[in-house]
This record gives sequence, C-alpha cells and structure tokens, in this order.
Amino acid sequence: MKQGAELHDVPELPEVRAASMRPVLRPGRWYWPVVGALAAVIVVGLVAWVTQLHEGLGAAGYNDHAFWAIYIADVVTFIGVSYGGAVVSAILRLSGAAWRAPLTRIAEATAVVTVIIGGSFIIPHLGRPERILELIYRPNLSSPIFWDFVAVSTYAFASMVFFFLPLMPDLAMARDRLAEAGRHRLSRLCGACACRWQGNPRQRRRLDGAIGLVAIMVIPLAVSVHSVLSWAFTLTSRPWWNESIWAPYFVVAALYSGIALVILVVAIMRRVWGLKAFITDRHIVRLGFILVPFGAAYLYLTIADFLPSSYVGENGVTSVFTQVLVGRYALWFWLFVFAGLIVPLLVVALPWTRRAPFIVAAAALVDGSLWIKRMVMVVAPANYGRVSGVFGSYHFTWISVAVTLAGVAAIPLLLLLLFRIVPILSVTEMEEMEARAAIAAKSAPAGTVAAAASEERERVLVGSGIAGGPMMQSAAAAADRQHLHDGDVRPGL
Amino acid sequence: MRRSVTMARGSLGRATAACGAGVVVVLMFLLPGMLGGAPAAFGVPASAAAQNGAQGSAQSGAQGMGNMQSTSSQSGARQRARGAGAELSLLVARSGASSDQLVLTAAVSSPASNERVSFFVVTTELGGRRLVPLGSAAVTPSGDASITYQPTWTGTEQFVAQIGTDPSKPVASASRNFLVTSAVPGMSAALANSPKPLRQVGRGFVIVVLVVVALVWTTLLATLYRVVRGTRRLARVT
Repeated sequence: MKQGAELHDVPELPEVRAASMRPVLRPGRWYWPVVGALAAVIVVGLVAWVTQLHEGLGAAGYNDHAFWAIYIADVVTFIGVSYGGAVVSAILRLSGAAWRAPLTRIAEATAVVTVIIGGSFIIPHLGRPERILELIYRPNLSSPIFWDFVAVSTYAFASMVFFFLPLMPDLAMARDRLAEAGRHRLSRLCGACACRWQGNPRQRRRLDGAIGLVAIMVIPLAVSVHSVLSWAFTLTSRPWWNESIWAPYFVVAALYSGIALVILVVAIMRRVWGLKAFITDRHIVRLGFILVPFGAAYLYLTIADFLPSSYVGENGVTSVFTQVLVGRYALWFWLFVFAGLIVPLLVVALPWTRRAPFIVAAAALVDGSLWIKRMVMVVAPANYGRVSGVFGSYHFTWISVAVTLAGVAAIPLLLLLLFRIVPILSVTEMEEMEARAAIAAKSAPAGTVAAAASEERERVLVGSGIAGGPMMQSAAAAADRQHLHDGDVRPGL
Repeated sequence: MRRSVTMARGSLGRATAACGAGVVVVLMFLLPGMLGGAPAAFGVPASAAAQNGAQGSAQSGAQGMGNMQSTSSQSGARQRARGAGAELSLLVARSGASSDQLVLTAAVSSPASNERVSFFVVTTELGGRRLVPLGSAAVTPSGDASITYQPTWTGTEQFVAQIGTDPSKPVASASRNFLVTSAVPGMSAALANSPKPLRQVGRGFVIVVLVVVALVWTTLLATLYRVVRGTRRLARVT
C-alpha cells in the first residue's frame, strides 16, 4: 500500500493504548522519588548559579584567558543532542520507515526538552544575564550571537510544532482515557489540545500533510542551527576556531550525539515503563546502525580538521594542536577518539557486540566523549594568548559542575513530567502502521516475504490474545531475539 | 541452562551499560582535577604556561597592540635592580617615531650571547596581581633590549623587565611605574578598520536571511493554525 494513502478503518490496539497511558495513569512508586531527586539536583544548580551571580563569572572558573569555557560546551552539547531526536524522526517519517512508530514520540520529546535546556545554558554564561533582552530590542545584526538566538529560537519552535502535530490524535485518545479514570482537569486540557480530533479521513489527510511539511522543514533548520552555532566560533579570529570545516563538523557531531541520546532515552524509557513489547532490541540495534555513518563521518572530519592546519604549521594553530594532540589536553582528546569514536563504531560493526545493552553503553560513551571533545574545542583555543603565545588555564569549580549537572538532570526530569501528561507512544501512528501492514499483507501473494512476516505477526498477536500482557511481551521479545540470533537485522524494513 | 545463560548475558549487558555511563560521568568531572595538577584543572598550569610564553617575540607584542594611541605624562627614567648574575635597568619613554607609543628599553650590565629580555605589565584585573607578557627582545652587544608598546588603558602602569625563562624565578628583574593619560582600548585598529570583503553584499545578505527566517516562522505558524482550525472544522457533529 502506498505511504500516505487514506485509511478509513484503523483498528484500535488496546495493548498499545494501555502501555502509552501507563506513565500518565500509573507511573509507578519510583516516579515521585526520582522526580524529587532530579529536582534536588536542579535546585543545587540554581543555588550555584545565584552564587555565581553574586560572586561573578570567576566563581565558575572563568578568567581573562578562559573567557569561554564549560557553559559554552554545555550549550553546544545540549543543543546538539536535540537534533538527533528531531532529524531521526523527520528522516524516518519522510522515508516511510514503519519501525519508527514506537520511537518517534520519545525522540521528538527529547528534541524539545534538550533544545530548551541548551538554549537556557547561555544564561549562566552571561555575566549580566538581564541584558539578554537586548538581543531583541537592540539587536546587532553583524553579531553571530544574534543569529544564534534567531536560529535556536526558530528551531525550538519548529521542534515544538513537530512534537505537537503528531500528538493531536493521541491527545484525543488520552482525553477519553483520563475522563474514564476520573482525571477531568487533565482530560479537559488534552481535549482542548486535541482540537476535536475524530480521526476521519479528511482530518488525517490535513494532519499528514502538515506533519510532512514540518518534517521537511526541520531537517534544514537543524542543519542551519548548528552551522550558525559553529559560526559563533569560526567568525572569531582565533587559532583552530577560525576554520571553514567547523559548520559541517558541528552538524555531524550534533547528529551523532543526538542519535546516541535518543538510544539512551529510548532504552531507559522502555525499561522503566515496561515498553519492551513495542520498543524491542531490534529498534535499538537499528538506531545503532544509524549511529555508525555519523560516527564514521565525524572521525573523517576530525582527521580533515587536523591534517591541513598541522601540515601548514602556522604559529597559533600549531601551538593549540600541540597542546591538544600531545600536550595538556591530549589525554582528553585521545579519550574522546577512543571512547567516542572507535569503541562505538566497533560495537556496532562486530556481530557479537551488536546487541542492545552494548549499543546503549556505546551511546553513553558517545555523549560523554563528545562533551569532553567540546570542552577541548572551547577551552584550548580560548586559553591561547594571541599576543604572547601563553596558554592560560581553566579550573572546574563546584559552581560550574553543579550548573552542568543540573542541565543533565533536567533532561530526564522534563521527560518524566512531560510523559505524565501526554502518551509516551505514538498510538495513532502505530495503529495506522498496523492497518497498513495488514492491508499490504492481505494484498501480497502467498509465499512472499510480506505474507510470511504478516503470518508471523498474526501468530504472535493471536497467541497473546492481543491482551498486551506479559504473554505478548514474551512472545514478541522471543521473536525479536530469534531475529537477532539469525542475523536478521537490517538498517531498514 | 539456556535460560540461565540468557539471563547472565542480559545482566552482563545491563551492567556494562551502567558501568559505561558511570565511567563517563566520573571521567568528565573528577579526573581533570587529578591530572591537571590543581583542583579540577582543565588546561595548562600557570608555570607551564608562563614557560611557554617566554618564547613570545617582541614583534607579536608590537603588532598586537598595533595602532593604539596613548600619551604619557612624564619622560623616561631608569630603575635598577640587581639579579643573580646580571644588573638590569628599565627605561620607559615615548617613541621618537610616534609620540603615542612607548618604548621599553632594558639595559643589561653584562650581556651574554643569545640573552633575551622579557617585558611585562602588571595587572590585577580578574584575579590577583600578575604579569601580562608584552613581548621579548634579544639583548644587543651594547647591552640594550627594547620593544615598542602602546597601552590599552590609562592610569599608572607598572612595567617589568626580566631576564630568565621562568618569570617566577628571574635571573634579573627591574620595574618602572609610568602614568598613561589616554589610551584606546579594544582590538587592533588595523584589524577593526580594515575593509571587509563583500561588505556591500553582506548588507543585502542580512536582509535575505531575515526574510527567510520570517518565511519559516510564517509557514510554521500558518501550518499550525491551518491544522488546528481545519481539524476543528472537519470534525463531524455527532
């Protein structure tokens, strides 16, 4: 069946609906303690920021050498990881990959949350944060910072729209479920946002068209935003920053780390809310396959970044590269190369490590390593004195670490709070995919691959009584394991 | 048996994932301090940095401060200091070529071959008192070493001349206070005022980019409005 063709009768999948509403209706006993712990970390970060406001940026380790440091690395990291969710979801939507359905909600929510946190990280970087409003009423059009503000705010709005549009049908479902559960206030809120969604073909057609348009817009927006973010560095006349390769370098790094974060978030969410029947190991492995080309591209760009400047050997760049490759930053740089590039690529490339737990560990290594790389990229050139050739130093303080950890804690906290309000799975999309798969299987001649796949799925669903209980989970997981052991894992459908 | 193997493999995987994440966090925040010499250092220690900086040249100092203007309220004077093996004196005077510039001249009593004198200005900005390198110059056979400097701030500035590679342990040192009455802060005027290529194109480009941004916002808002309004309108009355 052609992608985007009209569906008149989409069957409900009760087990999917129940699972998607589990965080809203029954989040579990662990939920509030975890929320409290994460909130405590954020409170400590806020206290640290207030202390910094009182004592000045020097309290965060900044000085006349390290004028850019940890907060800029945080901005680049958090905004970067947001692209993974949005772009992965957009590309998979546009390419019609049906396996994306259980992942898209989590990926898009991660994109929204991280871009908000990343954009906020510019505030602690400012010595006079109240002057940030001057970006609006006294803009300097020749400043890269103004264009950063424009690009990040545009992308943030686009990612929110991209999150909201596919959510509308599920909010209608949530409205009914919440009303049945007696949570009328949240039900009314969901009802208002659902905009009287009924799922009729005309509504579907209009919504699908809008989602397709926004998906197309999100991809160049994501590319442009990190390009503009890189230009805040490259338009500065400092060794290593003033490089033409940095825009694509930043974009690839953002996608690489973003996909890694999607893997982490998806793995954690499916674990804590029991979604393994819908988000299987195969989903994780497929995301791992998407991780590989971006990791390989980043490795290539890293070599392409260092080789020409090292060969030419201009004074400033040579000094910075010496410190990065064999000097004081060498440990961190090579740690990034090993843990952030080589190990993740090997984990996905080697068949015996190509399993969900290893890929999740590799994703954690990627995100941690890329933060280290960004610290090196920010601090090493900033510390270089252009007049004297002297390198300064940057020292972590409890304030800068606390503010950074608060940003890290804000990601799971905001996601936990968000999924207390909205369904965690893209229910309507999964039901539509199911309907399309059923139609395609019926129209496929007997004995073909599509028919065989349909029969297997039918067997699993019928075997469980489509009850969504442990039976279905174990059956689906068993089928999934069998596929993995048979090597039937391909980066597409 | 097979079940226990599967469970063990699952546990191993989870443990690996947890350990990986934990190791990354530990490395990110703790090891820099252990390896940087100072608590949580992410950079070059001051001693190593200063040693590196001693190799800076007089030209870099002169070019970096390029066209800054300054005037001084007094003519040069000498101050002498006795070091471990050489006697050093420092003279600060207006430049003959440009009255806006200062010439820092160090005189060494017993010059050695390949000896260099480093010049600094003392600052207390953003921290405690420390020396900001201005540049260095080789000592001539007659025992003089000089650089040209244009101050970037006004007030009494303390200049220091040193012989030796380690600024914290100079072989010989001399200092001199000098009152600067006017200065132009900021980056080099040569860089700031240099004609930018594609300046005229740049103005048009800014307008084009702003129009594109406005179109993106308009499209997003219109799409949102169209879906919200259309969905409401297309709902069948039940």
